[in-house]
Amino acid sequence: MNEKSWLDTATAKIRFRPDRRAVRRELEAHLEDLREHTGLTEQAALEAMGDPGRIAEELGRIHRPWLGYLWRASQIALAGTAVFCCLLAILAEAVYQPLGRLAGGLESLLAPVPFTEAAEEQEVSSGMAVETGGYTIRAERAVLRRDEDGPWTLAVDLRIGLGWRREPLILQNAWSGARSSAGACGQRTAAYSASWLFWQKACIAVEVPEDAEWAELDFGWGERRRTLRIDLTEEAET
Amino acid sequence: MAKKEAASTAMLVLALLKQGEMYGYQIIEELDRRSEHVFQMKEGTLYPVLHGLEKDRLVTAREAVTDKGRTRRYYAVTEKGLWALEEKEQEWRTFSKAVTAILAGA
Repeated sequence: MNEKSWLDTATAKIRFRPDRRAVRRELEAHLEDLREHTGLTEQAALEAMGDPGRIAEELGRIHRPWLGYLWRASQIALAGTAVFCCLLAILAEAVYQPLGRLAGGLESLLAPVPFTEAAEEQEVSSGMAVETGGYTIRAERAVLRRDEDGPWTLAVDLRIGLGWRREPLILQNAWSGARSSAGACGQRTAAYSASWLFWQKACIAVEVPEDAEWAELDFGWGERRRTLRIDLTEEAET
Repeated sequence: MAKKEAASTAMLVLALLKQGEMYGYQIIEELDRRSEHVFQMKEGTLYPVLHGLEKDRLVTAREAVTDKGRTRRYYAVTEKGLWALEEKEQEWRTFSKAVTAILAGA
């Protein structure tokens, strides 16, 4: 098998021609690099590259032809969308009210996670937001609550903008820490109410020491770690 | 098992690309060098992984022509890729900790 037939075989299952050409160029450059740096003969270099049939199977699975055709179709669709938007603008007055009713219905589905009633409750300041990993995490409501002689728990309703991610944030992984002005926080729990195309609602709760003045909630890791600070002394405006 | 291998390879590739953009041959060389020849990846393994990462938007690619007229495809990790890498690192640490604990008690 020579280089040409190896490349033909390795790219044979990529059915979208522009993709096939790009992958072929990439593999061709790789072969040239391999031969230049190692001094291998053409045949040895091809053997080192691996079985072209297996590569073809794998690449064919990734480079689905419809993705390429979809890209072409999307360019055509873009022009169509512009025309559609103009028509929609003309019809906006007629469709506005039904859309508004639909949005209202969704909002009620996505209400904050309901709390069970606690003996003592105090709503504290909220509204702070942090951005990490493409998500925007906003504390919509923060409540300090306690049952009888139990510990104080800070419960925070979160509204998480999904940005370009379009996939819900897994708080069990992403909520990386909690502490307060009076020391470490206790048990942490996270619950979800719902997610929608661009955002999700969730509720997190953490036990805080009684004399804590603020609590800090960490999201993400390493360089992407961001901290949401909740002031526990300032009552929420009603 | 093949899926797990691909996931581990993806983690290694993302970790390398975190240092800066690289092309395929360079990735294989770097992996070999940094792992002191433990990970000797075949091209047949690398390119499907790279293209899969690109499809999932964990890496981006740009083409550049070298002085010798070769068209190289440079890969760079995206913000989404860095996030995915951190998730995989967390999973790996948990797994590694568990194995170490079991071996310590063996």
